[in-house]
Amino acid sequence: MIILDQTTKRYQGGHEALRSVSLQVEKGEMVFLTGHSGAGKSTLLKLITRIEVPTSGQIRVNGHLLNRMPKRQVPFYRRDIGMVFQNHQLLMDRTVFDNVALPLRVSGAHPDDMQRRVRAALDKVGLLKREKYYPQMLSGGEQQRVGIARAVVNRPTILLADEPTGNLDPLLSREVMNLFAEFNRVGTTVMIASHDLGLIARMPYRVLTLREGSLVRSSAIEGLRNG
Amino acid sequence: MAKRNTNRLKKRGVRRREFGGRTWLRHHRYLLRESLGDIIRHPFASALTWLVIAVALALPALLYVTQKNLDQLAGQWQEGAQVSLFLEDRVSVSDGENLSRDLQRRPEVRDAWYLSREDALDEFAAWMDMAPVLSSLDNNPLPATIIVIPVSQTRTDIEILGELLGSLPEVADMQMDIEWVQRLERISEVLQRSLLALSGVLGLTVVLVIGNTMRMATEARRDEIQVIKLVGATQSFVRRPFLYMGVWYGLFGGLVACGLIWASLALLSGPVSALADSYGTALGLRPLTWTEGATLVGVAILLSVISTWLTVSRRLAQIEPNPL
Ligand SMILES: Nc1ncnc2c1ncn2[C@@H]1O[C@H](COP(=O)(O)OP(=O)(O)OP(=O)(O)O)[C@@H](O)[C@H]1O
Ligand SMILES: [Mg+2]
Repeated sequence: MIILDQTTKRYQGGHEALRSVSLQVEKGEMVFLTGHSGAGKSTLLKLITRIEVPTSGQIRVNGHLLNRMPKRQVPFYRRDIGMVFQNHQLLMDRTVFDNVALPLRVSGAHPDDMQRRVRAALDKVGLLKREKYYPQMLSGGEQQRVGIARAVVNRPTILLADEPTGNLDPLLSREVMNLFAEFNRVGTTVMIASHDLGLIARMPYRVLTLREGSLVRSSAIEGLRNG
Repeated sequence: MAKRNTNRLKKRGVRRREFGGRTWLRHHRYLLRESLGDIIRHPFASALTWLVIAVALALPALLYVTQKNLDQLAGQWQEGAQVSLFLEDRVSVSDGENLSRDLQRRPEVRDAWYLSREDALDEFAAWMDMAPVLSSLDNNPLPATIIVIPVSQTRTDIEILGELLGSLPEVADMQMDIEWVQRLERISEVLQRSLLALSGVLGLTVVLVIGNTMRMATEARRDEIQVIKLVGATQSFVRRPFLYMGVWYGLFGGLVACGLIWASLALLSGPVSALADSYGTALGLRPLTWTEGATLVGVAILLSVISTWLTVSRRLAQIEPNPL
């Protein structure tokens, strides 16, 4: 489903954000991605969403070799991937409904279909009653959930999240993580970058740890937890 | 093109919900509503741009109208081209009338008639509405005149006839209206040249103004562009609302330009027809025709869309999502 083969990413300026990372995430799996600040978590997600291209090595997602994907095909590829961002990337001048509907509008969904699916997504994150609100009128946690609704409204096969609980209190963080677990239960492949080791440790999923751009053995989480 | 694209995507297995005919129409209807709604919500933001476009378009268009009217004037005067023979003061009225009858019989002459000094004064007074001024003059300053209308209206024929008649001993001075025709034609040519140059410069102005407006529009919607690119918008999807904006700028700019021209001509038409009356010609200012107006609007839209396309395409390539 997601396969990295000796992937290296060197940014302009020469900094190596990822060093020969190889990993595989199975279809329907849910994994966490952790590591210190600057370890390369966001970089890894950017590579998978084809925001950045690797300097060397291969990335294969859903059978597509991203290295060779022509630019004009990228939009269609992205429609199959849901993304949640730490700063949620909502459009402040659009209602909650319109924000969540964006991926559907972009792919030309029928209005009836659009309405039904936006409501379903909002219902799942518990914000059905807020569809006419603007993002400013919502709390941080609610905004984050709108971002999640937008990421899943297209029923993507892969769901990526970068620090989705970054500015939420522990209780809300729990809720958000449970939400991801729920999507995973119905078959979505989920990959979450997070600092929140305390929360991650409590959940029964594989953990990938980055250190200075390199992947360390999964069991390293134990060491981190103890130390 | 679209088909080939779809096939290629299928081969690579990218699941692609393509914009079918119906979806496409619905999308465009949506954009139409949105873009018009935008204008209605912020009328002043776009009105200034319309005005700049309108002025840039109205200037060459007004020059064009002026030139067109001059051409028409030249044509009319040529049709009625005439040779005026101003007679020596010593020629009596009967001699003058005889001469005009002799001239009438010449084959090159369609018509000729004699105006005595009093006739000339009366006519002049009637034309210029200056009877009180003239009647206060002690001496009639005007000479007796024979007006000759030539059969042939080509310039050289008129010139030959004029030369010939001008050499008659009774004739003190000769004037061909052809000189006016020539002068008008020359002015018209100058106008035509300036029209070309001005159109070029102002066309470029329109392109630059729209380009700048669009550059600011993409900047203002930078976040939105990044986000919709992230959720899978194609380049053309992102560009489309801006193209709609470009069409509206062109359309409204063109319409306002037509309005400006119409208003200028309305202001001018009174004085012009008074002037024409005083010269004895029934000459109205010709306004822009519907076709010309439509062409102007069409050109405005075309320029605007081209400029939008170029600007926005370049900008969109620069605005890549970088959210994480
Ligand atoms: N666009 C860029 N250009 C140059 N260097 C970059 C760029 N983006 C990230 N980097 C560098 O690459 C390294 C990895 O960054 P990345 O954002 O992947 O880290 P991260 O693990 O997500 O950290 P954090 O937990 O703080 O979000 C950092 O040292 C960063 O400075
Ligand atoms: Mg990060």
